Amino acid sequence: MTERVEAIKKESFGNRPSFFDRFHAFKGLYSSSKPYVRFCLVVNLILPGVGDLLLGFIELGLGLLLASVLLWILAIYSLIQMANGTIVIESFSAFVYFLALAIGIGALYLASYDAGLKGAELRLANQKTLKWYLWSWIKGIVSRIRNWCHRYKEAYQSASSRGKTALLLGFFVYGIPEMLYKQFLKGFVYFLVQVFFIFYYVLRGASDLVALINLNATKNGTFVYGIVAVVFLIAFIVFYFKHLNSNLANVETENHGKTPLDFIGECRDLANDRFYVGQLIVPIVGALTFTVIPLTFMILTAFTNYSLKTVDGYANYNPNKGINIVWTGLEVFGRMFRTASTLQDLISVFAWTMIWAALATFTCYFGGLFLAMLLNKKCIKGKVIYRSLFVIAMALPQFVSLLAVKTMFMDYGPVNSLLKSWGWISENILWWETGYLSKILIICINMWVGIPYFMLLMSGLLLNIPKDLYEAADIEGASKWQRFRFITFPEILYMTSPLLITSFVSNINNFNVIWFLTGGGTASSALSSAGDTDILITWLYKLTFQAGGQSDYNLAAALGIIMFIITASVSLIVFQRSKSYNNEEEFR
Amino acid sequence: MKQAEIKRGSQKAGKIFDGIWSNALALILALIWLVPVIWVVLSAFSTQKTYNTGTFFPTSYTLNNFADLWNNTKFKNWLLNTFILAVCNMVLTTFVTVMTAFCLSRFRFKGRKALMNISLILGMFPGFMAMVAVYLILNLLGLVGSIWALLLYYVCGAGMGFFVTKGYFDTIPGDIDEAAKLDGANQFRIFFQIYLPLAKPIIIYTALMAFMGPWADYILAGLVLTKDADMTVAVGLYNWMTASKINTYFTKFCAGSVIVAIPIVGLYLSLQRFFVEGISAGAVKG
Repeated sequence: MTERVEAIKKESFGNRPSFFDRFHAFKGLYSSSKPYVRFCLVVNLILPGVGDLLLGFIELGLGLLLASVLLWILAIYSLIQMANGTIVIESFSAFVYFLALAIGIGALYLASYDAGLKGAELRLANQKTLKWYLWSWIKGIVSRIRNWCHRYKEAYQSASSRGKTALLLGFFVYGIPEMLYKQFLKGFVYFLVQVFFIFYYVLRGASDLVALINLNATKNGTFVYGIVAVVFLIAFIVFYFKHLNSNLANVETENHGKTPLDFIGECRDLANDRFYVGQLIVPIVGALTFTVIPLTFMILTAFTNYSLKTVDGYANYNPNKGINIVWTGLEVFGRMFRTASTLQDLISVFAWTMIWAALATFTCYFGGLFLAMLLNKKCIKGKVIYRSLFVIAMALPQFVSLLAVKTMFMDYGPVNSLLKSWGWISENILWWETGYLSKILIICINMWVGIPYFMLLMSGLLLNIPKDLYEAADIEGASKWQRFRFITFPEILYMTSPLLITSFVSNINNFNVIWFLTGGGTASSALSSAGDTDILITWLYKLTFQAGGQSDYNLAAALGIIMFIITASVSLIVFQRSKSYNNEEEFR
Repeated sequence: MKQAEIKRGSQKAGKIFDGIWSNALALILALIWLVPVIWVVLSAFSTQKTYNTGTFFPTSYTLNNFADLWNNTKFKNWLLNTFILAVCNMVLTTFVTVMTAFCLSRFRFKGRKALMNISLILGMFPGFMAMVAVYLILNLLGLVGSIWALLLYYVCGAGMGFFVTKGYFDTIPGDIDEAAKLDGANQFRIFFQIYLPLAKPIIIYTALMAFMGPWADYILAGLVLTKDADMTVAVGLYNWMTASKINTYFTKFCAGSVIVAIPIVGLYLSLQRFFVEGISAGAVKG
């Protein structure tokens, strides 16, 4: 039985090197490396990321460095402020906060250390991947451009008169040269893109772009439209090169004595080999307009003074006083860490977010497993009916179910009336007004909403566990608890380990439960802008929309960036190890 | 011999005991889960207008709340708005999501991995922090205040939700479409005649989720829809639950919730199989 557990552990967690393996690897690599690599390895131990950066892992190194610097700053600033006594935090919140920071920093160190070892190993084996990354990238681009120019010149020299016209015209007009080769569809689309772009830029794009660049000088309410203009410009340039390439390909095909695709061939191509082109237009354009542009705006907002809140010492955006939006660099992050009240809010909210996400995931996961096991028992009659009853609670739109339950627990609500009529209490319990009580209640109500989901999921999975395992356990005389501990649980955990982490992340971002139940908490709390039950995401919503004309856009944006770093670092690790990412080609 | 019989007997007794407490526990849990639902349904028929009745369940019942809701409020408009939005969203979002997943799973082209990674990273930003900018862009397009703004936003975001569906397509062997291609079928035919039937569960799951979305979305809808007649049920009913309105509108809220919940719960229950298949495809295959 234990072998099976070991095998499952190995399957789900991979062959992770133990601490001593790491130590030996480090020693071995260190003694056999050149001084430069040795230097990198040691630097990595002091500041994660720098060594990886020097060893050639540019993206990884930068990410690790950024994240670790951020976490260190957070930790040190909070420690200083707490030691000074400028901020006062419940000891439990502070404990969770520093624990999470320590885990984060530790994970970053470990990741950076592993990457450094891998880099040193590759170096020793003299592999090409460790050429100076950026430099080889630039060299590659330069050589590609040179090749392309060469191809263009050659094609021009040996082209027919039609090809020559197309190649020359191609530099100035999109689409028309393609039409010369009877590619009306492509030509028309390219031409339309160019006409649209010119009209857009004449009408408003150019002025928007100027306004974005001269942000400090223009009386502009917002710079979203400037970002739109930048995206259009990039799209225009991309289309320019795509158009030049397709043009060149046409002429080259003709030079080789073949006929390029005409209109009918184009259509056939779009219906077969390039089917994806037509289908991916909507998602890409949609994601650009409603995800990329807004997110860019949000990220940039964190580096401006775009905030309607009046904060002492900061000239925030205020159209009435004639103050414009200006770039302020990292001032918002500074404000977040330096201002005692904001830091205090941040620590408490962060701590509660972590506790909430961990508890919500844990309770629903095990509650769902328990319920599924209960309903899967042979002796339960009417399994389908039971399952359907539980599904009702989940199927109700959340604003209905959560608002209803919230009302049930209101001061004069039915729960208090019931308890009074039973004589258990004489005064109404203020369920939503006291921090701890409302927190416990939120977790319980979340179980009410969340357990059926996990129950549905797990009751299917329970049937997938091989029956012979249980038979073997019966023969060996295993108790019920042993069967659960050594068969059911490891199997389920193996199958759902990605889910466990994704649901942790989605609970960090679980807006609905908190918002509909408490709206983030009462105003009477000790915190300045956040309530006691606010998690990061509801706090962010409050800062942006509910501040009563005091919307703190840039602080919200900075908060969003911090949240992104948290969720992204967790889910990227999970995703890279997940089966569907790595076994994509399994069935092809 | 006798010992074995005793053992079997005690096992049998244990089984009966086990059966009794399992059934009892399941019954109790089911009741706990149902109490709030029953409470909402009964409150919808209550004669009082407030939640503060002094008893757990209301004591006297009437159908007036429903009549009131239908005749004196804009609930009709909300229901119609949401239904139109949900149906359009179901058709368009499902099409976009499934097509994106199909293309990313079945074709290999330059920039495919990059597209997938970018959409993964974009999905990790807390979505509605960008709502301010979304609002401004919708304003630029002149759509603020109508449900079409929401439809546009949902459909535009649909391409990013391809992961589960793509994972499902990835498990369909590739030899099938090779054979079809040799027979001269184009991609549309391959998609509609081969993949669509094979991927039916996951497509129904996607459609179900897309249909449910507008009924529950409060954040963007609350921002964009401001006129009473243009609202969706989520926005309208939520507004009735604010502290100033709850005492006069609570039973109407319950009545509205019941009307909204019946078809939705019905859909969930009848399509439960596909729902389970969808969530396990997303969760287990990761």
